[in-house]
Amino acid sequence: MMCDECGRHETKILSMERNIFKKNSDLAEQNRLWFKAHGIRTINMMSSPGSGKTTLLEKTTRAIQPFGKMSILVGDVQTEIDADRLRNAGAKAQQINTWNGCHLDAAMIARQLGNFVTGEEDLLMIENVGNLVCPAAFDLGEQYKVALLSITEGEDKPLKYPALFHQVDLILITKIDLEPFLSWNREKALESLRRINHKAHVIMLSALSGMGMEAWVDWLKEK
Amino acid sequence: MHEFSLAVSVVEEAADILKKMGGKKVLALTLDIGILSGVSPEALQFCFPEVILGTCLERCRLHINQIPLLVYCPQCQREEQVEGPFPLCPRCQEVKIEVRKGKEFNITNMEIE
Repeated sequence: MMCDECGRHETKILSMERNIFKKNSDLAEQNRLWFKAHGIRTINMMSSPGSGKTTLLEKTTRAIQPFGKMSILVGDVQTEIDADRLRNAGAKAQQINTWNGCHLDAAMIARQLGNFVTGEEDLLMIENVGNLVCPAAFDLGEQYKVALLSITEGEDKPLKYPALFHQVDLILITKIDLEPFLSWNREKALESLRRINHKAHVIMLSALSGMGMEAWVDWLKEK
Repeated sequence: MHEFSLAVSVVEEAADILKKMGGKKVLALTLDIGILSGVSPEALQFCFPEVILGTCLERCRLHINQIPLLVYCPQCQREEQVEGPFPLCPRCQEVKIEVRKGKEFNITNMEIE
C-alpha cells in the first residue's frame, strides 16, 4: 500500500491481537507461581476509600493469629498511616506508596517478594488503593479478589462500577452495625450485587461490633 | 483514571512490534477496547497526542473500536449483545451468563513504514 501523505513510499498493514495489559499479566503470573511455590494464599482487597479495609484488617490480624502467619501490603497514594495502624494492631505490614498512582500493579508486588514477604507466610493480604475503577484492570497475581462495600455508600455502587464488582470472589458488606441509623435497603443492595456478579459469596459484617467476623475468618481459613 | 500510563504502555508495545518488523514509523494504530476493560476511550484519545511526541509513533493516527458486551446465556442457549455494561441476558434477564466479549484492551491493527 502507498503512503497516504506523500504517495511515494510503501506502507505495511499488520493485523494482530496484542494485549496491552500483557506485561502486567505476565508479571502477575510470575507472582502467582511464587505464591504457589511458597504455599501462600494471596488476597487482593479493593473498595472505595473509607469503606473500612484497614479497620477490617486490624481486626483480622487478631482473629487469624491462632490459625497461621499473615503479612499485609497496603497501598496508598502517600503516608505510612495505614501501615502504622496495622503494625499497632500487631500485624506485619508494609506500606506501598504509589505517589499519585491510582492502583497497585504486579511490579509493585513483585518487588516485595523475597524481601518483606519472606515466603514463610500462610496468608498475604493486599489492601489496594481505595478506588473502584483502576484496581479492577490490574492483576496482582492474587488467588482471590475481595470487594468491600460499606452501607454508607448506598445500594447502587455495584451498578455504577460494574467492572470491579463483576470480577470478585467475595463481597463484604461492611459497617452493617449502622443499618438501624441509615435508610440503606438491604434487598436493593443484594439485588444490585446479584445483577453484576451472581457467583460471588456475600458476607455482611461490622469490624467494629464483630458481627460477621466469624464468617469472614472462616472464608479465609477455607481458602 | 490511569489512561496516561496506559497510553505509554500502548506506545511501548507498538514500538516493540515495529522494531520486530524492522519498520521505522507507526502511521496508524487500531485498538479494541471492551466496555468492561476499565479503560476510557475518550481519556486515552485525549492523552495519546502528548504521549507519542518524540517517539516512533509521532503523528500516528489512533482508531479505537469500542467492543460491546457479548454474553452467552445458557437458558436461551445463544449469544446476545448487551447494551451497556451490565452482564446479564437481555432476552430473559438471566444473570448466570458467560462474558464472551467486552474485556479487551488490544492492539489489533498497525500501519507501519
